[in-house]
Amino acid sequence: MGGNPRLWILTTLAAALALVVVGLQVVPVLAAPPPPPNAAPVGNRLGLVSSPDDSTVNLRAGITDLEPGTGGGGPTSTAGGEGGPCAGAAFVSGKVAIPDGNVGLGLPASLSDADVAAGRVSSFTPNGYYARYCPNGDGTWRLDRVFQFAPGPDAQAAAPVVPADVVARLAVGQIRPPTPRPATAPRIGLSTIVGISTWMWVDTTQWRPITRTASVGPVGVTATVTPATVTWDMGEGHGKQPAVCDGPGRMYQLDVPDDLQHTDCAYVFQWASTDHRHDDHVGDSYHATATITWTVAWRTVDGSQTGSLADLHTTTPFDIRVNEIQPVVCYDTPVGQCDAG
Amino acid sequence: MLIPAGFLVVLILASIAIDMSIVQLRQRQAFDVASAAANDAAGAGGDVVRKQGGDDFRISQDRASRVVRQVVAASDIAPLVTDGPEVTVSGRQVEVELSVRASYIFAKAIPGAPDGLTVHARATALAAG
Repeated sequence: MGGNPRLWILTTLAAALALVVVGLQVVPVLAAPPPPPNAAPVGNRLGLVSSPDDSTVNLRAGITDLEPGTGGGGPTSTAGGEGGPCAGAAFVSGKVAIPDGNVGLGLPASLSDADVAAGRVSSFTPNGYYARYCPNGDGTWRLDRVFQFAPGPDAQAAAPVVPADVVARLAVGQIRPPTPRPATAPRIGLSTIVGISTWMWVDTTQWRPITRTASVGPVGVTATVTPATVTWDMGEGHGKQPAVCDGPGRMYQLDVPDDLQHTDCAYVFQWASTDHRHDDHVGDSYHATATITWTVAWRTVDGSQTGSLADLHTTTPFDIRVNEIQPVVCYDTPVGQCDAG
Repeated sequence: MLIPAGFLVVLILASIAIDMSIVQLRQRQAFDVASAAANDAAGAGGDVVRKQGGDDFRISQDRASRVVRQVVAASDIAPLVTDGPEVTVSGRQVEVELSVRASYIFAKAIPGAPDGLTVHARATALAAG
């Protein structure tokens, strides 16, 4: 190697000085241990912070819950960092370059108070790179950590767990079981007769379970209301009990002979509604009601819990007129000429 | 001579009266059975099928005939019924007609005289209301 030895020495010293300067800037970053392969992110309401060491950057309480910083209104941390505590830390957005796949950070190893006040951030941008600076107490800040912010799910652990039966009530509250559409034979609107079997039924399309699901936080509950019985209070009074039918009842078929069809849901009136000798009602019709009783059952979405709630009832009132047949005998009178008057 | 003749006249008149009372009795019984049968037929013979369907109430021929037969068969004069009962239904009315044989007690002892009389009864009932 020829040339001026003095120039060579100066060149070597300059190169060494440059290396030292660059090394002083890079060493703190490189000194940080690599992130563990399975480092668990810390959840908070703002997002996740991936860090070489979770203990050094703890945002578990969320950015708004952190202690106020010393360098302004930006995010701070009370967690300790490597090489000592890091009370009142400040976060500064990092300028990241990735030449040749190697991450390079334009973050100085030390900042002044003015630099921190000017550069600190108040919120994190997803996937952004940030550096945490810890105060040295002499108006300077040292680079402590560099991390990338990754948004995460909302914190769930802090949310209160609502009991499943409460959620079930919410689900049931969404259900509006239909009011029954009653029908009778003889038809409502016409009059029936004492002594005959008056058929009763409700619209069979209404006779189906209704299901709704409600969720509060992690608790999901599916509630099902199922029609169970129909209670027919025919309004006759006289201490007669309502008829309770286990199903919707059977619709009377006009085209089927009477002796070929049968129902378990029928009522036989004993008194005419126009007969006011036993005044239990007003007017010439009985005021009847048809009430469907709905049983309420619920189960959590994951099937871990089941239960039931109080029955629901839907009622439809209707009026029914009841006549009675009174035979009048006409002696020695041809048929067709007998007049009750 | 007059006393025996008078006694005989009284006896004949009495026998005639008794036979006529028998006829009257059977006539009343026939009317009673016919009216009772018609009454029951009007009350229990309603056409429930049509009524369930909402049509006007009317009496069923089959149901009325069945009721009438039951009523007549259960009566005291059932063995004496010679004709019928015939049941005619029209709307809300039912007519029952029957014939009953009234047998004489004394007249049959007279040679050539009829041994009885057939009486007819008809009653119609209206299902009012």
